Amino acid sequence: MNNKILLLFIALFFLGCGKLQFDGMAFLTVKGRLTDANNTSIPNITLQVYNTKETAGGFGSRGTDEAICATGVTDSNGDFKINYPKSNGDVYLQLPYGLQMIDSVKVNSNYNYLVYLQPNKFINALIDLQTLKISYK
Amino acid sequence: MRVFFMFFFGLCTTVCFAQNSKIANDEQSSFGIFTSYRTFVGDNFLAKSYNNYPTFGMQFSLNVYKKFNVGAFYRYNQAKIISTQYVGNTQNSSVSDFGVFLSYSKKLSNKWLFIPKIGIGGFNLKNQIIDNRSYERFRYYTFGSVFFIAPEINYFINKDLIAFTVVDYGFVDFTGITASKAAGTNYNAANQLNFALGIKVGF
Repeated sequence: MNNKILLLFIALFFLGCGKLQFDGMAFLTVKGRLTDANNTSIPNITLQVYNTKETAGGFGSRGTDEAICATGVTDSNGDFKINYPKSNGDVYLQLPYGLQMIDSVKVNSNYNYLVYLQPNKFINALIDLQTLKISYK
Repeated sequence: MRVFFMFFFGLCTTVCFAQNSKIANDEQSSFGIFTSYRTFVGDNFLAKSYNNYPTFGMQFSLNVYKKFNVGAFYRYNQAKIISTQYVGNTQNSSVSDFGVFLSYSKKLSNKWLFIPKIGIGGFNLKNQIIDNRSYERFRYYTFGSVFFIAPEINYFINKDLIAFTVVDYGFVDFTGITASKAAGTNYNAANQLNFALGIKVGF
């Protein structure tokens, strides 16, 4: 019996666990508007939904799974709406290179091109970021 | 070689024409393969996201009582993405469904049968996101239930070999999907049409 438990433990240790996974039975929506500091709408900006998850590999190693699971473009009013499959990782709305968020409430200062989509902020599978102010770096 | 062709020609003509005088059998079991074109219609995430490649499938039908048969089928096709707006950045998708049906055979003439079918099955949509940096593949699956009606026409090439065509309409139920009403389309139901051509062997 002890040998079986030991073998199971070793198998789990070698296989690793906690990979990034998507759920085809749950689709979430993020929407909002991009403006500059003067509240002028910014059209034609491509936004991405970025997923990341730390994984545990064999021999105690650690890694990170990452994937862009959806993209969207702001319309002429600066509005965007992106639908994407739910994942078990941390999910961010990502600006294209060269742009940064200037809304200090919604952004992590170390990664000012990302907005964390907090799971507890979703209501009926929707998160409304309202207005996001951005600028060029 | 000449002998082979003569033998092959003789076999084909024998199979195809030898039993032309026999009438269509409306009380028999069969096994068939088919190709079809599947399309999704209506305001739903499938119709807005996918164009479909040809479907390949097989079906088995067992005569259980007089002109009534029960059967099972499986269909599979790759799906071409026409929009990632509703299902994420999937780069490789496929659709399969499988199920059971009840059919009734109605003889139209000596060589033609009309077989209305009604059935239920499972629906499986596979999507795949590929990470651009690591090229790692992340697959995710959407499951539903299919309820369909399918009028089928059979033409008896001979007593045992049957060509058939079928048009089926299916309602795909996705009540298990969670999605926002603001998403802009219906995630909880879809409609599909299949136009199939196939051949089956009766026994």
